[in-house]
Amino acid sequence: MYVINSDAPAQSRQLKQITGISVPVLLDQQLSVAPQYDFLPKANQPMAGMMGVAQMGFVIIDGQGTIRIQRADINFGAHAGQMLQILRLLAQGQHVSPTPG
Amino acid sequence: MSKRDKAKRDSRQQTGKTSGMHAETRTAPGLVRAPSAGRQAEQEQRRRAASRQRTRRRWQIAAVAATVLIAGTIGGWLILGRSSTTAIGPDGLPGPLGGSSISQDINTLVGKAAPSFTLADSDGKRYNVVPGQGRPIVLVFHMGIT
Repeated sequence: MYVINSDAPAQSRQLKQITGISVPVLLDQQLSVAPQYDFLPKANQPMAGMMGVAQMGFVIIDGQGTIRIQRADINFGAHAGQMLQILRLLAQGQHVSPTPG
Repeated sequence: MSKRDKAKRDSRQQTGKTSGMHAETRTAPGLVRAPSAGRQAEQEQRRRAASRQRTRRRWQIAAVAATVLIAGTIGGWLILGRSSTTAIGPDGLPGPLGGSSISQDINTLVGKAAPSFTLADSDGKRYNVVPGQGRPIVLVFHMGIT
């Protein structure tokens, strides 16, 4: 798991101190990765109209490198259980096979 | 007092005796004797009946309120709770939670190959993220504290 945000290094260190987060926090200050995953805020999304930041949310990529979930979620911390559930279902193969993209 | 007046008074007293608690017997002009025991009993009965009616009405209001509350709770659960817990995402995986103002699928790249990228953390350590190496990857996009 990787967290990606547009913080500067000093702010990122502050974030780590505040939250005690243990997973890697990667800095995308130029917002180069967010658009690759279509994670810049768009109209009708939870962060519509915000500039200079990525749309909060998460992407789940399976072991074969295919994007399985691409979800805007401003409350994903509360939905961590569901993320784990999705990973378990993917690991157990209890889901419909993806349509080739 | 004339004979006629006396007869009227006697008649009034007699009526009071026969009609029991309904009568207020006048002992002298302008004076009203205290209500009889019968009348007090009737007033007590009326008070009790009114009290019972008030209690019954309160229970009816409480029952209606409870019914509305229960129906609202069940309805709310069916409309919001149930739909948010049974929402289906892509490929039959669990869907977004909490309504579209909180969470929604973007889905523009689902089923497509995830791009590789390299980013550094706050210590300058570079991470080369390459999907498709056999293990699933979760990327969490966050707005940071910028």
